[in-house]
Amino acid sequence: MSTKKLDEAVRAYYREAELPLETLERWQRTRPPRTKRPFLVTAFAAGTLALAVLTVLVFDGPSPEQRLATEVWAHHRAAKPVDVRAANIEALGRRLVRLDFRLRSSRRLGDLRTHGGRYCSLKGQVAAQAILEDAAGRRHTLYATPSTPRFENIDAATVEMAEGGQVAVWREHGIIYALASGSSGKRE
Amino acid sequence: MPDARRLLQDGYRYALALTHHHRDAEDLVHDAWLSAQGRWRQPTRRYLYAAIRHRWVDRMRRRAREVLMDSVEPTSDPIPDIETPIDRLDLEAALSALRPREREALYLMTVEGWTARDVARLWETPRGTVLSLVHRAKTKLAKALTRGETYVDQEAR
Repeated sequence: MSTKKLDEAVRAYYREAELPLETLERWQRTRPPRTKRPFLVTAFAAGTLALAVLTVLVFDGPSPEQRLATEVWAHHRAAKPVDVRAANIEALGRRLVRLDFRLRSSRRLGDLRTHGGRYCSLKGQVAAQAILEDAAGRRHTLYATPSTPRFENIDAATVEMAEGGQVAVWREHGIIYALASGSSGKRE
Repeated sequence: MPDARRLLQDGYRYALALTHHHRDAEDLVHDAWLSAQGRWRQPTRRYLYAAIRHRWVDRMRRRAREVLMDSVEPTSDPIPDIETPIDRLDLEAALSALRPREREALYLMTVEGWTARDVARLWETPRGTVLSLVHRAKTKLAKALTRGETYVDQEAR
């Protein structure tokens, strides 16, 4: 019993079965359908872009007052000690001789008592930093710098900060004032 | 890419052994080829065959056809010798009467040169089952070709 003839016939049968050349060429040219992963990546990228555009359109980023308040708040939280003691703002101005503007008090400071101050900078511009205290013993920090073109977009505003603090910004006597209150970590 | 073409042709023949239908075989190997290309620039033979087989099994299950035989009764029938030339159309008719798994085993061992152990590993069945299947397939073919009769198996496709 030999199956050699049968085996050869079976081999010949299958080896004669061929895909047409044009079919092979078409398949080799055909790219596989995109998998789900690139689709998800594309969808994620499109979603992120849409969210970014929406954010810009709706929120338009932080305002000039918010950006200034953020810088002021960082100084306030640092709670650096006074370099110069003074009983009021004008006296502090006279002690901080390197200031290139005349430091004046503001009506908005009310009855806050002045302890002293130091040099500081806002937006890369020399500023005066005054340490104030209210009747309850809470510490406030006042920043004052000339109202130069760097601050031309600043309007009067009160910006709420983290931990219940706030920064009030206003313009008076040709000076930009920023008063930070709350959460200074010292004398609170 | 001649290697790819050869692989596709072999994949097509394997699919033909499973389906015994040219159009179905072409669909199977095309689907498997696209799937394999998503993974590799050129798939391996092992991967392509596995992809073809998985797709074929899925399709048969969807058609609610029993394609896997859990047990194969050993047969001791001798395989008749074939004296006359084998006509291709007669062989095609005889192959169509085989069970898909018989054709698959016959193809892999006779045409591709696999051993019974290779097929058994692929199917995760005992080697003896594979040998019995191939023996039975050849017996059916030989009987059909020598007597001009086609063994009709109700479970065949």
